[in-house]
Amino acid sequence: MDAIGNLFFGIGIALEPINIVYCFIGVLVGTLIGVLPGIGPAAAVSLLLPVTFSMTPVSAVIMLAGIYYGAQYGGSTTSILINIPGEAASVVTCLDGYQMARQGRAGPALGIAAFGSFIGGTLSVVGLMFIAPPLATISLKFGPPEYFCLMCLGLTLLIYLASGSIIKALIMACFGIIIGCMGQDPFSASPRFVFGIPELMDGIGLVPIVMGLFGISEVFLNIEQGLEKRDIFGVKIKNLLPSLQDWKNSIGPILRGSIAGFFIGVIPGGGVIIASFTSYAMEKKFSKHPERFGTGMIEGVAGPETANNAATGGALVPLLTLGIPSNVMMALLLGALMIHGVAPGPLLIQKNPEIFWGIVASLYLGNAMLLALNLPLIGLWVQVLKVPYKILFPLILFFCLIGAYSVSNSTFDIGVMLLFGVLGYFMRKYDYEAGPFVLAYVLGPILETSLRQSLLMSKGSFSIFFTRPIAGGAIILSLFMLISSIFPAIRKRKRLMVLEERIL
Amino acid sequence: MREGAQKILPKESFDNCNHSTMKNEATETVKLEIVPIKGVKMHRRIGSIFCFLIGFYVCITGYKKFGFGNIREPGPGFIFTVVGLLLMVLSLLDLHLSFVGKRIARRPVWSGIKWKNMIAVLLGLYSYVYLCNFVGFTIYSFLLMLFLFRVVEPIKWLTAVIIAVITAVAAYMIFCVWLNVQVPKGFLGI
Repeated sequence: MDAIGNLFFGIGIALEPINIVYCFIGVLVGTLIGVLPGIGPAAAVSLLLPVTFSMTPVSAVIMLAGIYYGAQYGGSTTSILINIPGEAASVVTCLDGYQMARQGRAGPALGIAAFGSFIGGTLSVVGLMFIAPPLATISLKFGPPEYFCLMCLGLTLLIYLASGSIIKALIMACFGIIIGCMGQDPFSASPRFVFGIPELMDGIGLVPIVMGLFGISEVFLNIEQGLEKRDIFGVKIKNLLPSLQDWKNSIGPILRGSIAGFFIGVIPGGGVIIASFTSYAMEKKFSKHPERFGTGMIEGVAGPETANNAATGGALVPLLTLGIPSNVMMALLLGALMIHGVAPGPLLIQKNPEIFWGIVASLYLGNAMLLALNLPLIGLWVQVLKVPYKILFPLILFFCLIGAYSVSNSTFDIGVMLLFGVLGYFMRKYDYEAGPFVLAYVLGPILETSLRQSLLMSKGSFSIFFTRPIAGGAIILSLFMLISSIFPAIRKRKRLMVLEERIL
Repeated sequence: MREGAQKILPKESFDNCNHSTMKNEATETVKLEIVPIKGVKMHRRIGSIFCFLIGFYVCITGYKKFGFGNIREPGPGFIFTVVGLLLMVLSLLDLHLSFVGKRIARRPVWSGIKWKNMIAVLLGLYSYVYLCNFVGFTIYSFLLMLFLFRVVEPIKWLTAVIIAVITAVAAYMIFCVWLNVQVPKGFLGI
């Protein structure tokens, strides 16, 4: 009942007029980002991060979180209407959603995607509300060895589940740690890799890096061979409400997607993409007619769209209770909270309950707003899709530029952003992923500090990581994941997922 | 399977390094450009060697310049030495795999790239560092937008001017008036 009481406290914060406005802006921008191919939620959060500097921490996270789960709603629109996923987690929705549109059932497809997203998002918030506080209490017993091992686990899982080569993902994680640890040593304050540049004493900022890697490089990839024209499936969208039969077929996938999506989101390294793929595979397995998947089965839309929204709530659990981001988006939110002087972790619920419960309540509010927005505004999103990319990309670049400059009014950050834009472009050409890099960048300093503290505590003995149960469990699981990735059966399963992701 | 999807092809497909067409089960013709294996592997090897050199530099600098410390009391260079070493090992592993790995047909990485577009965009963005202080944020925003609208796939001048003006004014209102970001004013004070 404490949770209910605290929820009412959070509702009071979420319903402050300014927070309602920021929640609305976040979900609206998120939906727009999800609708528009070519820019993802990570880039959008990066672009809007400087905008949050003048806000309170709770307002900032409400808006940025709104972008994250809003993008999951919006991504289904383009998947269904033009067979191009608006963002990565909506890839599987293309398989059956577009086929439904071709059969004149775009309306029910869009409708069930919206309702499923709402149910999945809402149920995951319920999970967050009941699981997070006891988990935070347990995590008060965590010390540096536990933090070090959990972060290793998070990095390992993200690398293991990376869509490309594990070796390359590990290489990117190494670079992320190196870049993240640049600047002053946390123990002795001695400069490390600053090359005599005063701006590097505090390290390289998160905002220019992510803007470059996700914003600038994405634009380069889209313009490198000229700009494509997009054809929108020319059907009049009608009957957005699914029929009774559609609901009968979808209720099972929605409930299964909610549970699976939430727990996949909780696991460090999991995320919305894994959740949506897992749900699709699960529905195909449970279906009496698996051979019909890919021809316009509503289950193939309902399950994945529910799962990817449920995963957004689940992903907030380790971030807010342990201070460990489970994926790249959570790493950006962690960066945002740290920029605002808030340290997410076990003490967040005790010291800043208004932040935690305000965010939880705003998730309820945001999901309701998204359901109300997405159904009536589908016509508007279709018009937005028609904006040519040659008009869109200059606006994206301009916002990147201003965003990078506004961090510390320094042209140095613009140079950093452009450098990482070029690096990000080359990284993508050679299949080096930015996700492990960014996560390792955010976790690297914490990893280093907890490792050094642990070795000081144990007087140099590494057994401290194995004798403490939580730390030992996390390390053994990490080693198991790394070693098991070399087995053919698991490699083959991974390759299937990689191929699925690349069929676009 | 759509064009661009990766597929492992038999060795014979690579002997002549020609373009080939294949029919998949759904009778869609998919054209796969088969890149000479030497070219694909060379790119991968260059990447691996580059990563190895970076790892070597980081490891040596961390060990000698920052101080490794000891296992009881790790120094500032501890993490860089360990991670640099790990990076070197991983790079060598990746290099090794580029010699023994399976042949994969894929779209050529650098074919058809319009370098002019990207260099122009990059220079346009970088010009902020030098021009913005002189002309001011608002005028610079207008000029940059106009440039970007015309450089890659030009839109009509009138459309470009109108959107550039709207963007410059909106940016001024959002960043300078609402968010109070301190931007350069330039010789006109705007």
